Order: sequence, then C-alpha cells, then structure tokens
Amino acid sequence: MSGPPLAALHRVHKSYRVGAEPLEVLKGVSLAVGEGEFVAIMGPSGAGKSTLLHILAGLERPTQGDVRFGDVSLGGLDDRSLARLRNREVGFVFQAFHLIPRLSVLENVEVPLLYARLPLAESRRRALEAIESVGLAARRLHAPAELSGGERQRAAIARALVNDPALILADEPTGNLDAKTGNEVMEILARLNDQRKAIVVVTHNDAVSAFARRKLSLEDGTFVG
Amino acid sequence: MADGAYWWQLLVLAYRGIRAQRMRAFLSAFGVTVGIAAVLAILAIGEGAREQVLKQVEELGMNGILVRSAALENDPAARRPAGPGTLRLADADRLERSSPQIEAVAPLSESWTTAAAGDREVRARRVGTAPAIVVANKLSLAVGRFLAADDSRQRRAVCVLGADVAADLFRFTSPVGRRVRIGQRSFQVIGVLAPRARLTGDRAIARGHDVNRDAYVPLEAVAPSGEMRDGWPLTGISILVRDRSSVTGMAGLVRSVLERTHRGRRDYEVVVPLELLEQRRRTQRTLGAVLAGIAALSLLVGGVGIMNIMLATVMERTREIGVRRAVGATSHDIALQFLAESGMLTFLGGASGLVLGVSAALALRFLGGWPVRITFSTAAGVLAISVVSGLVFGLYPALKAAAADPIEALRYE
Repeated sequence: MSGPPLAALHRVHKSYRVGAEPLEVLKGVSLAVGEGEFVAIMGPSGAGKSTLLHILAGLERPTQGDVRFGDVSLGGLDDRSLARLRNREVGFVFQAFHLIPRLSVLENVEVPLLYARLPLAESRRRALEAIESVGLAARRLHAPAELSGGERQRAAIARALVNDPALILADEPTGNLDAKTGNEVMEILARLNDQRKAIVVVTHNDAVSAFARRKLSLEDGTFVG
Repeated sequence: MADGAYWWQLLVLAYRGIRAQRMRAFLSAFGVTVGIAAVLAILAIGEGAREQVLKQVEELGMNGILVRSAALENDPAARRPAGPGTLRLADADRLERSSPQIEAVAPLSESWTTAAAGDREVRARRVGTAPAIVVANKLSLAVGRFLAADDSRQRRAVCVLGADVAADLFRFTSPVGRRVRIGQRSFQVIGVLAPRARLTGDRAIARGHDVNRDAYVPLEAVAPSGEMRDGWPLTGISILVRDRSSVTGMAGLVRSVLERTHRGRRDYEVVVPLELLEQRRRTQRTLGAVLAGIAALSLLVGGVGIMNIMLATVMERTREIGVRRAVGATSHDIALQFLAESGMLTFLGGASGLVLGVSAALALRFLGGWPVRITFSTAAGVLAISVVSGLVFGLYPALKAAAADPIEALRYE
C-alpha cells in the first residue's frame, strides 16, 4: 500500500463520565483502513466497538489521540467540516436501520443529498440509482413501516452510499435480522467492496466476519491477538 | 440554484411535519389565529373611523373656524334669537377686518322653523346670512343662483334651499321662482344647493350644519326691525382662513378679538375643526398604543403555545435529529429545519387569522354598517408579524434541537 491510509486512528482513547467515575471505553487504539479494504471488528458487547466506529465516522471526538481521514486530522475540524465529512466521505449503516418513519424510502435516501445541497433533479436521479443498486426500486415509495427488516437495512445501505463515499461503516448491520436476510445484506456490502469501497463492519457474529478479509478483535478497549 | 433547492426542501419538510400532526398543529396555532384575527378586525375598524373623520373634516373645511353663540348652544330649548350679551353683527364685521389672512366671514342667524309650499310643510333651519357664506362654508349650487350683495342691500325676501328641503317641498316641479313660506314670511326661491353627505352621532367630529335642511335668506330680511345694524344678534359666525398653516394662529386671533369685545364673558365658543382633528389624532395614537399592546400580548400567548408544541416536536424527533446529524446535517441545518416548521405553523395560523379577521370586518360592515377598512399593508403586516413570532418563539426549541449530541440522539428511545 502506498500513500496515507484512507482512514486511521492513532492511539485513540475515549472515556465517558458515568456518575463520578470516568469510564474508559477505548484505551489507546490504533487502526489504519486502506482503500478497498474489508475489515471486521469483533468482540464482546461493551468492548468499545461502536464507539470506535463513531469516532472513525466523525460522530464522536476522541478524548485523546488522533483521527485522520486521508491527509486531514479530524481534531482540527469544526462542526461544519465534520458534518461535511460524514456527508461526503463516510456512509454509516446502523443496527437499528434508523430510517425516518414519516418519509418514504426514496425520501430517506435523499436525506444526505439535502445536506450536500444538490439540485432537486440531480438528487432524485442519484437516490433512484442507489435504491436500484440495492434492489428496492419497486419499494421506493413505501414507508419504512411497510418494509421487512431486510428491506429496511437495504434502504439504509442505499442512503449510506448515495453520496458515493470511499468508506462504509456498519455497526452490527445484521443484528436485527434473521440469518438468511442478514446474509443478503452482507452480500450487498461484499459487492460494494468489490467496487473498491472500503468497509468496516462491527459484529460479534462469525457469519458476518467471514465476509471480511481482515479481522480484528477488540476486548476491553484494546485490540488483542 | 442548489441553495434554492435546499430552502425549498426545508419548507416541504416543514409542511409535511405539520401535516403529519394536523390536529395538534391546528390547536397550537389557534392562539395565533385568534390573536391575528382580533388585531386585524380592530385595525380595520380604527382605519375606517379615521378615514371617516378625515372625510368629515374635509367637508367642514380644515381652513374653517366656527364661532357659536354659547347661550343658544347651552340651551337646546331656546330656538329664539339669542339674548343680550351673545354674538352681534358687529363681532362679525370686526373679525372680518382683523387680518388679511381671513378670506371670508359669514354671519349666521339660525332658527328652526317650518318651510311650506302649497299643502306641503317641512322642518327647516332658516339661516339669515351674507353672500360670503357660499365661500366660508364651501356651499355648491345645484340650480339657480346664490344670495347676492344686492339682495342684502334691498332686503329682498329671497331664499336658497338645501337639497332635502327643496326635494320635500317640490317633488315634481322646479323650485326656482316659486314662493316658500319660512316661519311667518314668504320668500321667493332663487336657488337650490347640491346635496351633501353628512355624518352624525359619535362619529361626527363636531356638530356641523345639516346643509340639506337649511334655507338661506339675507340677514337683512330677517333682522329685527328697529335695532341698529351693529346690534343684530347672531347665533354664529363662519370664518374661512386663506392658508391652512395659519388656522391655529387665526383661531387665537379670533379668540382674543372676541375676548376683548365681550369683556371676558365666555358667552360664545370657538370651534376649530383642525384642532379637533389633531385632538382626535392624539386620542387615536393612544388607542393605537393600547391596541398594539393587546396585539403583542395575544401574540405572546400564541407564541408560548407554539414554543410548547415545538419543544414536544423536537423531543419526539430526537432520533431523527441523530440520523440527520449522522448523515451530514450540521447543527445549523437542524436549527433551520425546526425554525422553518415553527415559522410555517404561525404563518398558517396568521393566514387563517387573516381570513377570519377580514370576514369579521366585512360582517361588521354589511350587518352592522360600520365603516371598516383593511389595507394591503395591514394584511401583509399581520402575516409578517405572525411569521416573525414563529421564528422568535421557535428559536429556543430549534437551538435545543441543534445542540443535541448526535450519538445520544440516536440512542434516544
């Protein structure tokens, strides 16, 4: 690999204040994700997997340590620039889908494009393209409540990739799905990886991590093994 | 271009947010609706009243000054000529000579009596006066001619009838040249005045003549015989000032001249429409301030309702806020989204208030006969105020939404 990695954590610490005691979730974690990589981060619940993913996405700031996206250190970015990074460079897939209930699939997928300040026609075109790529074209006008779990997660993936980010972060993407639909969702992520998108997936499910080419274990705030 | 799309989508989003909770939106905006409607109706009435006052003052003449005999004024039963000590023709002559700013002075000797022609008889006010009245009171003639200097000199028994008197006495024939019995004496009709609209009751700024019921005759023809010309009693003197800017000054002059000749006895009153108008304006300013206070209060009440509902909305959509932040919304974007919603909510409330207020005003006009008036700027103003109140009272909930931590918002149940 040449040049800087796509995204990197360098000795990242994160602690929360729970009552009077500070709770240290991440204890000096370093990680580099290269272009087109498929990384699975395994570990028991409470190990800090989600927090690590949030920090990588620019949703949370580390207590200590450095997060870099290409050449840029996130520590120096303000709220607006971080939002821009989440909008353009990263797509995030949640375990609970997090679709907006009163919007249709199409409108949900268009949400990131609103903040990209895209013209309406261009926005619509791109959203339809993303929906088609996850095989939901026939369902585009349905509300999330009218979809199955697998369909909801596919809609969420369409939303994550609508701005064509280089990195997709998935936090237990199959956690709310049965094995078969979970597998379908992972197939979609694998296909995206084939299209040179870097994927980082957090899971404690071996069937999920089997899709990844690189597996890491996080336990009690540090990588092991 | 892309920014236009952004704003448009914010508005669409706001509209859909409101539509999703129609009943709640209606109830929360109801305060604004009622407040705006009340303010609008009150403004419409105020505006209508002001216009009427202006019209009336125009008619009375902003350049006019009227001196009235107080003895007659204070004793409504007395319809006979005023007793000793009231206005005399000498007063009118003196006032006419007092300043070049005074354009015309007309003596008035009014008395209520009957006018009869053939078998018809109507109530009329006989006004003994001089030809100058046509200038001083801005009278306009429909047919015939007005009193001339020669009529006065010759003490001719001629008269000019007000429009109503003429119409009542002579239904089908032209009055000019016919004879009319006014009081005890017979007069020949030489002219008829054009009808003039007139205001009455509380809305009248000052008691003016009902010109339509007047019958003008030469003062000389009705003056008491055996009395010196200077001593002829008057019920009033009508004065026209050349220039509006000097009306107040001339009113002062008139007062001081009369004070001197009447030796301080206040047996007359000086009515200045311009001063009355200014007084009325001051009252209206006070009323306007009170109304503005009520409007502000009603908007405050409505606004607090909006703030309350927006806080609930923000709370309910905490998860949505987290999602939007996660996919690229800045806190600024989030604040704008909720501001657009509260602004649209109060705009809709204000728009229904506008419809309600206009309907109320129209109902007052057609059912109650009130002179109401709604100007475009009033309507635009209340709409602007309603939107601004939405932005002001939506600000706190919007900032609260913007300040939410994305991760905590996503975990919110």
